[in-house]
Amino acid sequence: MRQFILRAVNLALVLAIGMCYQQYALPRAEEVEAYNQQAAQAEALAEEYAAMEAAALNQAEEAEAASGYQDGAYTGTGTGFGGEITVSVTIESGAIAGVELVSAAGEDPAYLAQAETLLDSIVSAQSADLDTVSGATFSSTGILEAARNALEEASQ
Amino acid sequence: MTKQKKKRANPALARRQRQGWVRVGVQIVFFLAAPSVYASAFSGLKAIFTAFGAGEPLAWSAFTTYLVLLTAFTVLFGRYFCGWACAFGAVGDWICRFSQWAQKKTKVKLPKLPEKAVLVLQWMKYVTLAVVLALCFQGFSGAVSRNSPWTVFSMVISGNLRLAAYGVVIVFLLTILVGMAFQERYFCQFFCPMGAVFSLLPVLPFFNLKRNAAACPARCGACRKNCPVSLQLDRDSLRQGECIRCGRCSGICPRGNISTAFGLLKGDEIWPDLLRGGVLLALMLVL
Repeated sequence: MRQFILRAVNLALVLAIGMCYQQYALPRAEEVEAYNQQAAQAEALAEEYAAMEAAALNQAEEAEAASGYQDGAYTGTGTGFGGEITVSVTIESGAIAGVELVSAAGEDPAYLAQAETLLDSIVSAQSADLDTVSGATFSSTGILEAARNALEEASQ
Repeated sequence: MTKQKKKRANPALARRQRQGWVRVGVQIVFFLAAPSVYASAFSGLKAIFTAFGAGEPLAWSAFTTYLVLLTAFTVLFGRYFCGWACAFGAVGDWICRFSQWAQKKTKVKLPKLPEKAVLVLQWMKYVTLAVVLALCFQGFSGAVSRNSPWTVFSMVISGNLRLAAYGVVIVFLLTILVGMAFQERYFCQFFCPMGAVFSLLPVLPFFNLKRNAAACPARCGACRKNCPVSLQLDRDSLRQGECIRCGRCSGICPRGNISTAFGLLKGDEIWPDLLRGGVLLALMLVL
């Protein structure tokens, strides 16, 4: 009985520490997020300015700076944890409009679920050169590799 | 003919063997249906400590779900998961079972650790847990999984054999597997960090195995000798967390002194164990 009480107190303490930590970490993460957003905005403005400058200097160059992707849907394959992962990438007016998982039979569902966040990240970054999701490295690598292969297809 | 006579003469032995095979069957089902749950749950814990170390808020993931599920299940039923559903423990049990059978056939006895050494070494797993979590806290969780024998094990059982980069870890894993032939459940007792977590949990009293020590003959100790984790039941000590609910103590007790569920069950009945297994399996497949 004594053991049970000790252990219950122990578990309660662990949970309490976790919750206190969360109380402190969540607002901090929001601040970090806000800061990053501001930094990103500043960067975007600087880029916009640079682009305007470049456009003024050389309009032809700007045309070349387009993505180079042909519109359409392309599939690509990469190697994940337990086999091949296939994704399909949709290109609309030269930009990546969507990435979908076609097949990933060899992946563990829990790990795959972690890595699937990359599908949206690829769209928002307009690139498949992203960092892997930690804890699900194999599935992430497979998804990114598959997307890169699909994009290569799209740029031909 | 003689064999049949023997069987009829010892129904307790038949009951024990039947219970043993049911456990093997349940382990096979879990091995096929959910072989990576132990690693997923531990990933959940590692992620928490990685977040602590990085000062990031805790995020809920599929790993956290497994961690919470197994923790809650263990608080309610004891370490049933360890004894019946963990793929790593199951493989160890099968190697050990095969080794015991081979030892009987060849009449060669492999050396075993003395009980005192086992009891001391059982503390090691808390060290493993502390070291791994400290490494995650310091931001080395990637290095931990690259050097973990569990990574190689889960790669092999999911059919991923691109193991070129894991030379040292493979040797590590093979050493662990060979050791299982000598000492039953030694990895779980001495090294398993998830086992360390489970053995520190408060287990509700409903399904604890209880021994009516007053009715035991002096110097019997059959339950302890037959226990895979050398547990002396009913002492109110930290070591009660070692019990993995295999139920063998109940089967071996010559006087039926061991019971669970407030005396309603002996603790080695097949249906309650299958029921618990079914609940756990259903939860894992739903999630």
